[in-house]
Amino acid sequence: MFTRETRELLFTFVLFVLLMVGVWLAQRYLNAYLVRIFNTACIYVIAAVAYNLVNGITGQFSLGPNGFMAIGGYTVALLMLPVVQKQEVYFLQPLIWPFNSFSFPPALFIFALLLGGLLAAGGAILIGFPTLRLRGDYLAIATFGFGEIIIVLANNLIPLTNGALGIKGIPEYTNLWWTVNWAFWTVFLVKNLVNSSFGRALKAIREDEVAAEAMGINLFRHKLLAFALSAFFAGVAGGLFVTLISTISPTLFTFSMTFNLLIIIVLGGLGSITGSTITAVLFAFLQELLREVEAPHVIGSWTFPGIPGMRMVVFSAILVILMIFYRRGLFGRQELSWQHVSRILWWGKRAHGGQS
Amino acid sequence: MFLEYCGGGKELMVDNHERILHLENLTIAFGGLLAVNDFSLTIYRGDLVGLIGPNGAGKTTVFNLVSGQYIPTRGKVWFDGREITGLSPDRITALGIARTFQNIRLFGDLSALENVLVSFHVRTSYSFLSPMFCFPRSRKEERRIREEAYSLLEAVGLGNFAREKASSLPYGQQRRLEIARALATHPRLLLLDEPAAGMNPQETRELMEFIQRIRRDFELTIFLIEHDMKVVMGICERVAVMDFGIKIAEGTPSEIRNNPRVIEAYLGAEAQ
Ligand SMILES: Nc1ncnc2c1ncn2[C@@H]1O[C@H](COP(=O)(O)OP(=O)(O)O)[C@@H](O)[C@H]1O
Ligand SMILES: [Mg+2]
Repeated sequence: MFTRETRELLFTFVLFVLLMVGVWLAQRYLNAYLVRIFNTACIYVIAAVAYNLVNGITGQFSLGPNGFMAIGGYTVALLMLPVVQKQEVYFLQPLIWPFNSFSFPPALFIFALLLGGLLAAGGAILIGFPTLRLRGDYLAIATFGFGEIIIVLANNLIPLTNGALGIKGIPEYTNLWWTVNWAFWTVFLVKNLVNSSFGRALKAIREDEVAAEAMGINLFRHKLLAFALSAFFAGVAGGLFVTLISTISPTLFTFSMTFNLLIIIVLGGLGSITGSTITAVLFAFLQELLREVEAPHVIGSWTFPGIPGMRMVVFSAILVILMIFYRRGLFGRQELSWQHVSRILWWGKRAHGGQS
Repeated sequence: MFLEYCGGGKELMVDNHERILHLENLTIAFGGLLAVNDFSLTIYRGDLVGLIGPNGAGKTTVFNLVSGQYIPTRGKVWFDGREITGLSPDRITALGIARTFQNIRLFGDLSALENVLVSFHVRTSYSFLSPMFCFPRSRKEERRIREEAYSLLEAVGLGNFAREKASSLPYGQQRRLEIARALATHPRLLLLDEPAAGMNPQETRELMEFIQRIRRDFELTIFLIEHDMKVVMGICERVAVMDFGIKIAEGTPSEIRNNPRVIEAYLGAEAQ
């Protein structure tokens, strides 16, 4: 009676309602520490899914998400930081016009995020334009360089970014409502795109550029669009992140952020949106767990000093093991679809038999 | 030369209405090697023309020049009365030329159906935002092209393999899938690069019948490369022969069969 699409949309809607109920419960009953990890997890979901659109679906090797997150982060910080606060923070050199004279009221937070995303997408178009026309690994080199340049600019454009001191006291607008909603809608939109004719074209480019072009696909246009869209969501993730931890500085979005995201998407399966979603959440929790290992602990009379830098060692080891034994990640290029879920839920009953 | 003279004016449009493909002194050099040298050929609407020659003669390179993968060092390509030299492959495909590859180039990880669907993408009329936000328009169109792609697969005898991964199909079916994928771009001219390569005589005969059938059913003009001379003799009305980048002969199969230069080229190649 329902078509498959309608049924899946219905499932998705139910999931959304459940998530919102979950958020409501978490806001009331969950402790602040766990809420914070969930917030971080959602931000990783947004950034990782967006990153996978370029690296996994389109098969273009970008190393740029930290740069795009930084653009989004600084944009949102500059737009949302109250004017009084701005005068306090920028004591070395005053903030330049027009940012020194206005700031968005809380109600416009969503527009700050969208602007952050749009500016990041603009940055992507700027580097995509010369590099995506070329075949080969130019994109990796260019995006890596771009990320580094953004950090250098963040350190040196003191009247805009306050240099190495960074910006403190950004209002903490981000909460679970924001992060869960953005994560949900990012996954929803990107997955819809990937399952469309446009997404098929992106996969065709990944599989064989020459053949894709011979079937009429404009390589440059499609790559650029995927790249810009990916940067948009990375920018939003950056904006959410700085309004979560209320501070931004050049060290926040270094290459290690990209490295983390790379681990997430490889772990989840390059090309699997649902895979990235799940591993992004796992990663956020694993990171917290390892933070414990790095910190000193007192157990009885014995003081355990903690092993700083342990996280990077563990993550790198995971990546190596993965590359050797599990090259395609947890999901490969498979997606966890509602068909799979219903097959698991109604095991053997064939409740949703072939007729659609 | 006569052809060069034609290249400029309106005249060409007038006497061109029957021509579908016109290659004019095509030349391309890779380093010092002239892979294709001063190659001219005219193909008329509805023709089935063969291009034969020993390995390394430059046949595939001619296809790459027509489909836009390579840009000629010198010379011009005309399609349907319009010059297409230097256009990108996707533009040329959109104008109505589709091709297959000598070394099969399917989208290995996608299903047979998806491989065909990729070719429908350029003619979808909605923007990328429409499917993202589940607009009904993109859904309707998706359903339509799925049906069309499926019936195309059935037409080439791959209906039962629609959900199969392309890379897991047997060799002969991969070749057919490549042809189906090319047909899905709605071409008027189809370029087939050694479609019978690696097939046994029985399969080859079936394939040649299949090619004649799609020519009729889809009202195609077909330009076909084959390095085994015997294969094309049966089905082509006209054959061009290449050796060392140069066209050494052109004519009906029986003319070609008795041409001393052709015999020499093939004997020479076999003697190597
Ligand atoms: N991209 C290229 N770069 C360098 N040499 C090439 C290139 N493409 C083709 N060639 C050369 O051009 C010649 C003709 O090749 P090709 O057209 O593939 O021959 P055929 O299809 O007739 O067997 C060969 O000597 C080949 O090595
Ligand atoms: Mg060849």
